Amino acid sequence: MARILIIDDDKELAHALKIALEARGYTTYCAYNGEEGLNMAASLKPDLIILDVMMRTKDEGFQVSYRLKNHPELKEIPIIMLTSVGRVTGFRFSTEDEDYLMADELLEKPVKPATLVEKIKALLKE
Amino acid sequence: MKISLKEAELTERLRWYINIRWLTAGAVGLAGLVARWLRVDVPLTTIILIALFIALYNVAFQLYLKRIKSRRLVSIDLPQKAERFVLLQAVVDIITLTVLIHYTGGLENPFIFYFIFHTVLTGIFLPPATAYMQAAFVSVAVGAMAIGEYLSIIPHHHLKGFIPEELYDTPIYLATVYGAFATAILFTTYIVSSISERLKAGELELAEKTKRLKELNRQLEQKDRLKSEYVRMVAHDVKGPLSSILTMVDVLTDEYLKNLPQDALQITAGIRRKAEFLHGYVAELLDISEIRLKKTLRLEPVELSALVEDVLMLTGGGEKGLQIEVTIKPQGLTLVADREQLFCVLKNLIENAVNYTPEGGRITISATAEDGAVRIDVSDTGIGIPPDEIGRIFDEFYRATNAEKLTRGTGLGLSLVKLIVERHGGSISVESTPGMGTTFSLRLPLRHEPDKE
Repeated sequence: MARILIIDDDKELAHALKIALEARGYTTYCAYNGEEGLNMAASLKPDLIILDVMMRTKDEGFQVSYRLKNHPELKEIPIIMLTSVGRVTGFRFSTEDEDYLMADELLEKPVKPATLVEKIKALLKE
Repeated sequence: MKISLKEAELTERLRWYINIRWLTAGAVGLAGLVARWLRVDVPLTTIILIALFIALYNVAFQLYLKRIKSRRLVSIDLPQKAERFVLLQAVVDIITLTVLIHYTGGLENPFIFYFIFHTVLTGIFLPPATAYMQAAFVSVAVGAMAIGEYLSIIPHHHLKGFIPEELYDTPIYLATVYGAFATAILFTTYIVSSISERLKAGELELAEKTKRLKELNRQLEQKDRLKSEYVRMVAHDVKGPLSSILTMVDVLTDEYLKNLPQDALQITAGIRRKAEFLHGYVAELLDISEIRLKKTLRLEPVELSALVEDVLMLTGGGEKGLQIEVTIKPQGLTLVADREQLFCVLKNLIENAVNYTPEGGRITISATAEDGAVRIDVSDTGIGIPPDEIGRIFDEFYRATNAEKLTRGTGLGLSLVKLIVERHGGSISVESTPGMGTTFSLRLPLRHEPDKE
């Protein structure tokens, strides 16, 4: 079964998502900041990464995804990015803004577990 | 006190003074010719020479004015310069006019009262003391001329065929003319100076008040901005944990649903509903403060039918069996606007229509081009707005009493709509009959030119 890495500084949320994903049979790991996330991604080589945009800074998630997508061994790992901006104003982005975004899928918070699982399945082609 | 007129206006008035003098030079020459034609015994050559002299020094004045104007940007002492310039012109004019009067009949010439014009002009332009000195100068110059003529120190030029000769032999008449003349000059100076001083003082006071108002307004704007920034920060910080709570409650109910007693399920459903309401509330608060803080609109061509379609995908209203009708004329109607913000406007209006219209009702959305603007109407057959509350529905946090009973809401939607519409240089109005329905009408310019500050 696929292995998933969740990178989110909200520990409670990361744990809740871990519970939801493990209930569906995924092996799930949690990292609570960008640096830790990058290290774990390099050592674990997960099949998919769930990444929060706003952590310590407004765009820490973007920096993480940029480094992941420019890493020779990690760039193929699909990324689902969780955002809480992108409503009426704020920065609007879509998966087409590849230069900046570098995510394979975008999910706006609050995340519905069922929707998250759908996206994971689609990306892992399950 | 200094002349408080703005520099541009000052030079403009100086130019006006000079232009009047051109007319005067022409009129003097013409009057001489007419007088001769009427067989009045006027010294035509002298009059023509004086007219030419006026024209000559007027050329000099005009050149000088041009020089002042070209240096306007670097000269900070323009008001003083202009004052001196007016005084110089007045003195030269008074001397010239005195000479002219002397050659055309002296005191008996009714044109002697033309000195009034100089008195008025100097009274407007110059400080009171200078204006009075000018009035005294006029009286002395004319008086000297009259006495000189009467005592035969200088010759008296009598205008035969115009002024009866006996007049000059009636000293009491001459004295009265002079007295009337001198007092007229004095009173005119008094009246004009005091009015002009009052006006100048008022002008200064007004400028001072305007400055203070502007400063106050700037401070208010700054405070409002701070408030919006504060609201944005709080809303943002509350929204994050709330969205986590929602996800966690979802995980809880999804994963442990089967193990939970019915009561616990009810409680988690309650938690979710409350958290969802709060999340929506702060999200709206965040939207409104972000739009408030945004200084510029991201303008792009927006096709209305596509936009309405996008909104309807989100707010359907299908589950209530509402009939939704969209008419856009002409097809492909497009305006330049901030797409996201306009989306927000239509979303709020259509969402309201859906929320407050009972099952089986009808919602009509129409858009038409109207001389340089677009008119968009969103009508429903809903509960309507009570007439005594209709004036307040665009206020922040205000909710009509009948709406409050029906659904929970923030009362921010319509204030946001109004803010966005006004940002686009448009206007919004509403008509409603309780129990029958409501129509919101927007008028948006096809292309909004934002103010450049």
